[in-house]
Amino acid sequence: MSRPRVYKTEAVVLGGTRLGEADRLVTLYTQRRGKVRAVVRGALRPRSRLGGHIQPLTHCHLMLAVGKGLDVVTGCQILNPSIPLREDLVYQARGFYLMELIDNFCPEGLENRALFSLLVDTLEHLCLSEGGERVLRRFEVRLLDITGFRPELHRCLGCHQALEPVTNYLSLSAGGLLCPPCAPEQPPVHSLSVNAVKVLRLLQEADMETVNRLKLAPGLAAELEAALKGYIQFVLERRIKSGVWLERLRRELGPNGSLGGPQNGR
Amino acid sequence: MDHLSVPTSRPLSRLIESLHRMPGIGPKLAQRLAYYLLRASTDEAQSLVQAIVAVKEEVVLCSVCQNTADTSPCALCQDPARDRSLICVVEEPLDVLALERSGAFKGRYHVLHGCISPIDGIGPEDLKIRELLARMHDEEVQEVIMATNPNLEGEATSMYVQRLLSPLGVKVSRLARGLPFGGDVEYADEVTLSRALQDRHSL
Ligand SMILES: [Zn+2]
Ligand SMILES: [Zn+2]
Repeated sequence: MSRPRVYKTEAVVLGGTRLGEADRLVTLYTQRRGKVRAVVRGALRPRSRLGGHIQPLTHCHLMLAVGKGLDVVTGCQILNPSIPLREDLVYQARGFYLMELIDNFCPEGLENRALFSLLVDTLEHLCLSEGGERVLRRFEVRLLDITGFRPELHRCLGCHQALEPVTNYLSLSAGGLLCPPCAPEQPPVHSLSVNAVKVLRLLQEADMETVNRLKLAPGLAAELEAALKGYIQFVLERRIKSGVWLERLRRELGPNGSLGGPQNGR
Repeated sequence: MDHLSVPTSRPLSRLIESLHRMPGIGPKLAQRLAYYLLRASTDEAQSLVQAIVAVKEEVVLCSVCQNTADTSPCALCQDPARDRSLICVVEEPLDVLALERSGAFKGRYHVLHGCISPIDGIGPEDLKIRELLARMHDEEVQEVIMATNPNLEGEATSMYVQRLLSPLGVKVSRLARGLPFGGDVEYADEVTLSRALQDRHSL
């Protein structure tokens, strides 16, 4: 079976680094081939047609040529430039976080269409004015689902009994919840309130519209964030560095979390 | 790097490897340069070695602008003809050279030595931002022009610095982002176009 020499695919640009004099090596999450690393020739020259198009956080339609080593981007049409994510520090930090998560969870060359649509959908919703944190929580939960790390939230993984509406424990190593009697035997664990478990269950099933209507008290939001962060860190065996940056910005900028929103008033 | 271990001489393969580590030098070019140096006169090789050593030993960072220089403060910071009310903030020393070549800027510079890059774990502390803040004690400084690269990391840096400086009563501006001279509107990407519209000015 010979692979075609040129292919078209939708993609989201995850990041890029300089390659040689004026080329860029970009990491893409493509609809048809999963994570792909490709070269954009001459991208750093001011007059490059492609350079400006292929920036991180951009959702685009790409044409790629299969190279001996790396594929080469030969054409690009932008579908969503994600402009609001470029105009505000916190919005942008959420974008960085999203890109880093995808990059860390996905091996190269493994197609996953469900994940691709989740990524595009999340990117779109992060550009809207409110609820960026909720959007990220839904993304984290769905990402764990799609990549095979869905935490069990309905039965205790120790005794297999249905969970009571009390504070239960999220066991990272077991991959889900433990009831109080089972919990202490299997650290590391995160305690999870009744409400936190409810929201997590909802995030596993709900679409973006439902998530957008969700109102979370600050304490509950922080609890969810910490639990998911711990879980993801356990799965990946590493920290998501841009999560640290996002946390820091929120702390320094206050609860409002924005410098007055994107400059274009959206 | 199997293809690099072809030379049978160890010093030669060591040189090739060292050259290959430099930015923009691929394995082929590294080999060509190494064989060139092998054939070059002893004088030429010595003078290259000395130049490298001198760079490591004699180049200092200017205590004011943090640019690489022979003296500290550097000649540019000491030049009375430069406008002391303007500071242009750039990521790298090479950016200063580019702006100087344009001859369009008469103020002084500040080199950050990088940009904020959350995915690489590079934060404000890793850059010369504290040194920039210290320069704001100089009453003469009125405007800081952010000239970081027009990419996500450059803009994160620019927005972050702007947030730190604004409360100090300094005007913060940034280079206009828009269409390259000689470019074509038809081929411009959406981000560039929307920026060019934001940064438009009257004729
Ligand atoms: Zn149990
Ligand atoms: Zn100086």
